[in-house]
Amino acid sequence: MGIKCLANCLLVNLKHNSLPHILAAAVLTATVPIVFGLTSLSAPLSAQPLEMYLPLVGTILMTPTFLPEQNEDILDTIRVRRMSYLGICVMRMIYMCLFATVFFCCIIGALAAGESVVTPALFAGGLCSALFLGGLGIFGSAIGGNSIIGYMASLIYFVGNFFLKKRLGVFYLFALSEGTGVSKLWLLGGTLALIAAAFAYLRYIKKIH
Amino acid sequence: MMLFGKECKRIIFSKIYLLFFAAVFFFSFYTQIWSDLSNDQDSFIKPKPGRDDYGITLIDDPEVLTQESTAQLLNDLINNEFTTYPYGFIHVVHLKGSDKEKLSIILQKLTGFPDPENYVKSNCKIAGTWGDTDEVYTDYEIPELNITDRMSIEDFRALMTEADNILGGGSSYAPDRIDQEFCLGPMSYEQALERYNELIEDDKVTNGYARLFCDYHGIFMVLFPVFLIAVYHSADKRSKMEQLIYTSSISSVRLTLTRFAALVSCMMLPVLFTAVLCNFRVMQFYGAAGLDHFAMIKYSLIWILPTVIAVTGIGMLLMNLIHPIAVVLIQFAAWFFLAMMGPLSGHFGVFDIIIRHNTEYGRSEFMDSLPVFIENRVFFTVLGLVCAFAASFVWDLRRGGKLGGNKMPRKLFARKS
Repeated sequence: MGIKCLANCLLVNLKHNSLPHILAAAVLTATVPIVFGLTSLSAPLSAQPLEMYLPLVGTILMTPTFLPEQNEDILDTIRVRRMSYLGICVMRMIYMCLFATVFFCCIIGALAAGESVVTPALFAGGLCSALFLGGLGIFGSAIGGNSIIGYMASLIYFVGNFFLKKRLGVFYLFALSEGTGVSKLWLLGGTLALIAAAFAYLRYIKKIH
Repeated sequence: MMLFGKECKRIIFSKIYLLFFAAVFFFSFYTQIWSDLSNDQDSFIKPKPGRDDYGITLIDDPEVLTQESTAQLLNDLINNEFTTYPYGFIHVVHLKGSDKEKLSIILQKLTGFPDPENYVKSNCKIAGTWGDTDEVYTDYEIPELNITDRMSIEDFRALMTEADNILGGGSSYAPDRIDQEFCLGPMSYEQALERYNELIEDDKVTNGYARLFCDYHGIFMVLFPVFLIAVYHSADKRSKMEQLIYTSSISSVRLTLTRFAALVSCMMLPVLFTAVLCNFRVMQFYGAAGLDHFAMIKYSLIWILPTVIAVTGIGMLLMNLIHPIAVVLIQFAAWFFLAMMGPLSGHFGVFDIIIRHNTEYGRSEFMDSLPVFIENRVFFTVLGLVCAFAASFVWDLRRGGKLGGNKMPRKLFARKS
């Protein structure tokens, strides 16, 4: 499988599968300065847009990883191809993570320009929340066999953070805003576990390669 | 009726319905009213005289309202730092140029000082400072302003509304927030007793808790149904039955409305189930005697059913026009801002789909708003039914090949093979 083939696959996926989701995430990012004031914020207040709003780009970008092949006809076509289907899904997931990082960089830049407190921990913490929501979306999509179930899992978990708050323990998404002091590495670990479980389910239970 | 039964069976035995039921039970019931009933043991006991604290309540004292809110506005202006929540999230506003001048003029009218900023800085003591070295907020002790001697409370409220508009809305001075922010005071024994008696005698306990129950369900039942509708809507296509159904003899209106009725009925099941559970939970604390045992069901049908009808109707119509995932995201965004921006109690209009009443008390306030409540619920019921009929019309066009495929925004999401 050559580099040219991979690059071609990446372009096709970007154009036909991921573009609407990237645009939706861009729109969400563009609304951050409208919904939140980004000027003169202290560290806990700077964390609010990064934890309570922007992580939704993780849901929007990562949940549809398996969406195109939800159509069984397309999945059958993909199965006979030489290239690994799950490999393509990993590729989609990686470039969607990169897009999420870019959107976070934009808001970090806007916060810095507005003379708000910005630290690497805020950036990494917000991004971990986004990846965790994305991981939940991927897990829900894989197990439920339907991307809408993935969106449901991810969005309801996000909403749950507003109502259940610290009862969510180490997986509380708004730890930096609320100053709980819990490490965001738990969320990163949770993301990796969810994604690994999703792919393992597809590979070994659903026998998709 | 047979078709209705079949559709209900299809919904109830699906994976997504199990998730929906679990989500409604856990978020709307278990973590909310069940948790409230378990933690708030004080509510079940009749208030006794001589206690230090009976809770807080809104006090009708124009002196307190005018003094406290003007003092806060003055301090905010001196520091040029205004905290607002226009979309439910924090905005720190720093005014410039003409906006700052307009606010100074408002404060001149309120305080009677020709230059309120300089007057306070020169004559008032500093009560405290907050923040780090770069951004210090200085809080001055503002003297008695006696605003009610100079203007009526209506004029005062008009000036505060103007100040809120200058700040972009969502500030502590907004008409729907100013009382909650500056006019809270300790509740007296008599007020606490009256509130308790109202719950026991007028509300027969369960009517009060039914409003709280519906308050929580009302938030989540605007969001959760969209996932169920999306999966249900795409089920025909996924099972490759769509074309077959198009060719069947059943009318579009009958099929769509039957599915709409099945969705609404199935969505109401967890609400009614938790209503029964909630009634038993209240009985555990208050005993069975003297309770209105049908209150939870009655309120669920009057309060939550119109919400479910509206959300289902709108969802079905949108899903016939655009991709279900786009509908999920649009409805989530709409829900997010509606839920974030609204107050916890009161102040709902005819077009507010989420009605908040986050207390088992407050019967008289609720009854005062009853005409608006009825108009509101009728509006959303009619809206939902109109949308369901419109969905059947759109589905009929799709069935006849006049709509769909590449002719719709669906094209945006379509994958070329």
